[in-house]
Amino acid sequence: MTGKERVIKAIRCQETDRIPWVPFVGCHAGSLIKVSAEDYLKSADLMVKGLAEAVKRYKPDGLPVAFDLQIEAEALGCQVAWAKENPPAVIHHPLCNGTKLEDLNVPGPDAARIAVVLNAARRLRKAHPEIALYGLITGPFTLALHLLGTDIFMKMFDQADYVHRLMRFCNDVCKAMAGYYIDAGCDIVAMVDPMTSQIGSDQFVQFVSPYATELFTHIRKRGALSSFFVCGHAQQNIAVMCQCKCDNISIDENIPLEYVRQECGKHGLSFGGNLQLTSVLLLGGPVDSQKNAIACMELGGNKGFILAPGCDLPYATPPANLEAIAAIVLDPYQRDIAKNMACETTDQERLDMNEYGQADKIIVDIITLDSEACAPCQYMVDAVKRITPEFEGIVEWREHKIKYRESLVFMTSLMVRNVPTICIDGEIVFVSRIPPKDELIAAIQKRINEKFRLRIQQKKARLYVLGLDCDKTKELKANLKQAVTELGVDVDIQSVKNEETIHSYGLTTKQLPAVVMARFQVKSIRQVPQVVVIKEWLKDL
Amino acid sequence: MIDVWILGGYLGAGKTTTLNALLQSEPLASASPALIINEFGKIGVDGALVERRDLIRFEINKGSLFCICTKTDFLKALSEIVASGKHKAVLIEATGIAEPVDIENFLTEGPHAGHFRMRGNLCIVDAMNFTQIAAYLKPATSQVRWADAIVINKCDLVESQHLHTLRDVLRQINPTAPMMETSFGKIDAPFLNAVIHRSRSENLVPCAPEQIFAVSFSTNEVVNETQFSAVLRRMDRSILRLKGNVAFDSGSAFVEVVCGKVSKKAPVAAISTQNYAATAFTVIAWNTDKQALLEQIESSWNQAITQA
Repeated sequence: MTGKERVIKAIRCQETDRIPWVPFVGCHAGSLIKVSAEDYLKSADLMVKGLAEAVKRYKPDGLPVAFDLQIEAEALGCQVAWAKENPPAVIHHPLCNGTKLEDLNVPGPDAARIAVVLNAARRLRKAHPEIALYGLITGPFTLALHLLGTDIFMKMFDQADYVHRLMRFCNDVCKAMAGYYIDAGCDIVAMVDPMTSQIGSDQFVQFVSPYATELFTHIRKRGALSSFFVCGHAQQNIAVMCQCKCDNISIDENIPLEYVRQECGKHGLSFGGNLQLTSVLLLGGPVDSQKNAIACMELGGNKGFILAPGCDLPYATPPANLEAIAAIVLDPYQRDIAKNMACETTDQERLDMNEYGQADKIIVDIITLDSEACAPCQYMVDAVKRITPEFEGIVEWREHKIKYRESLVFMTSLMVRNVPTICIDGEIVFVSRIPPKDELIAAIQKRINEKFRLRIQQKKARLYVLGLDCDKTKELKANLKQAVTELGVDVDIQSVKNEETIHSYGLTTKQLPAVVMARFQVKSIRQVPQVVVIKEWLKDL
Repeated sequence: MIDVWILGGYLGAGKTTTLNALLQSEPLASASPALIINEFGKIGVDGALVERRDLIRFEINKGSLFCICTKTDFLKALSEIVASGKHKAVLIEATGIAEPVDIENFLTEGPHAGHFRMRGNLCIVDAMNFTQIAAYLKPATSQVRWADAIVINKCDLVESQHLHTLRDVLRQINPTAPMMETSFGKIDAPFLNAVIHRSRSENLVPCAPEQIFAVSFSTNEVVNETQFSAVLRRMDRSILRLKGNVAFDSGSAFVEVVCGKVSKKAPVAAISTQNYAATAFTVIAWNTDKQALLEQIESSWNQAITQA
């Protein structure tokens, strides 16, 4: 199976021999051939050269021709600022600087840098027939923002009809661009619309869905496959994105992969993502990258999933990290090794949880991705926070965001595998489900009862029955036995008849029968307490 | 530790004025602060308008600014600030489309953990436009939500009833942050000095705040004007804004409602053409169930049919 076949099958949700790997190499390829992002993105020759290097080193199943969301905007008159290690930035929005929407025309295949990327696409198609080629187009909403600037958010209310006309124009540009890429030999058209992460699902349905649906239908009619890329906090829109008739959805680390798998599954769509760009691929090492890739692969599964970073790879991403991922994607044996290595590292860091949950208070731990960024996590934290006043002074709660290393270690130590999860005194209780108030209260109450019972059981004591063999003493002994049995406590009963011993308790024989209770308290284990500490215990007597 | 101030707010809220005010008063004035600003078209503070020219500034102007990719540049700027050893403070301008949560996370992650301390997260709110923009742009609400202090600017441009509603809306999103009302971006130094950064867990509201949402209506039915006005009065506390054409039984009009104040003028033809409907308007509301709002408003033309 070639990479191209593998990607196409995965996008169509068909079985593949292994998970396809599509590193989004954009200006990063410039760093591979030691040229700046600006030089790279302006030259078809350099793109062909850079991507050939990426093919050699990263052994991908698919690659984008370019990852630059400013190509169309630039061709439409947006002024851009270039950078050494980044794609250019739009710094001038023509529609809020005097240009009229009516004056804009859909750019042709020869306009500005469109000609450069199409030239590169044609040559790459020829040079790498075995690889799936992605033609990346700027999504209509992001392009609209490039043209109009953030005025668009005010105009969505003030001049909704204008925003629709603008979206119609931008979508015409998208359809034209999709056609150019397909003609140049691209297999998949990826519509990248990150700005949609800024709006809610109602606005998405009103201002984006009609156009996106039309675009994806157009791509299908042209015989190509489509992918809808989004990055940022866009979880609220995944469900409505799935209704836009695309073939695949690709996301970044801001959205849990599991959630996207679930939503895409409902519509029979494939999905891709979400290797961590900065914290792992850019700043981490090869083992971190492999661990991250394995986690994604295990969540993604063997059908309808494409392993990819969430967005354009940073220019300075260490090639060793991507090579390390390629190694485990291609070779299951290497993957097993990496997996075991990963386990070893976490094992070493695992905390000793034997004594966890033995304190007086009940500890509720919520393991989350991040309650500010992930809605289910937030609601789980809210659920716990709402009920804590009922247990004031008895229950303590804390959130562990697994994006922090120590929280991840904590999670592994508690054997938690899903987020969000609620643990009560170290025991996993609610997994990926926000418990209703009563259920959560009941779970905490149950733990309080358990602890109480435990506490009683731990209170080992001894009762001394001081007395001679008279009837009163016998009756007293019987009552004590019955009480001990009924409570199920760990208390033994001893008779003391020796007068000298009775005197040592400060009692005379005239005061019999009497009961003396001695309680046992464990004061220290596995250590030799200092005299000063022992004195403190004794002061309590 | 380097103190970090975040200044957020949607474009036009008066951020540049506030930025200048901040840089000229203590504690920032003498802390040789470094600036991190977003120079991205029209969405950021215009660097040219920053009055203190002596300051070191870092510009984040990545193409895909709204995306995780920005993080790389941001972290690079932080590294340089730490390495230079010259700055006791950093002022970060968060554009209207930045999620403040992301910014704060960058500070505490990886190589920079321990070097920076969040000093305050200020959010400038435009009294005129907030209730409108919040229905369309998610970060507008989250910036208020995570703010340690809220400055309502341009108060001179709105009526008292409008301001009253705005206060209610902001309080609902962020019940604890101190709020200041001002015009022309003026901020009292004592207000600034009293800002205390609250950690996220303290700020976490007990439940998801009421959504500010927008709903669009279009119909070719005739709208009963009496009924429509009655609905507006009944839903006075929920409807923040309404704008569009309404084909009343007494004739068509362009209706605009801003925090309870209703005005009417001649209909705008383009709105009806775009929507293929004589009546086409949008409502921004909060504090109500969306379904209930739909039913209430639609009753003013469905009722008309029944009566006919």
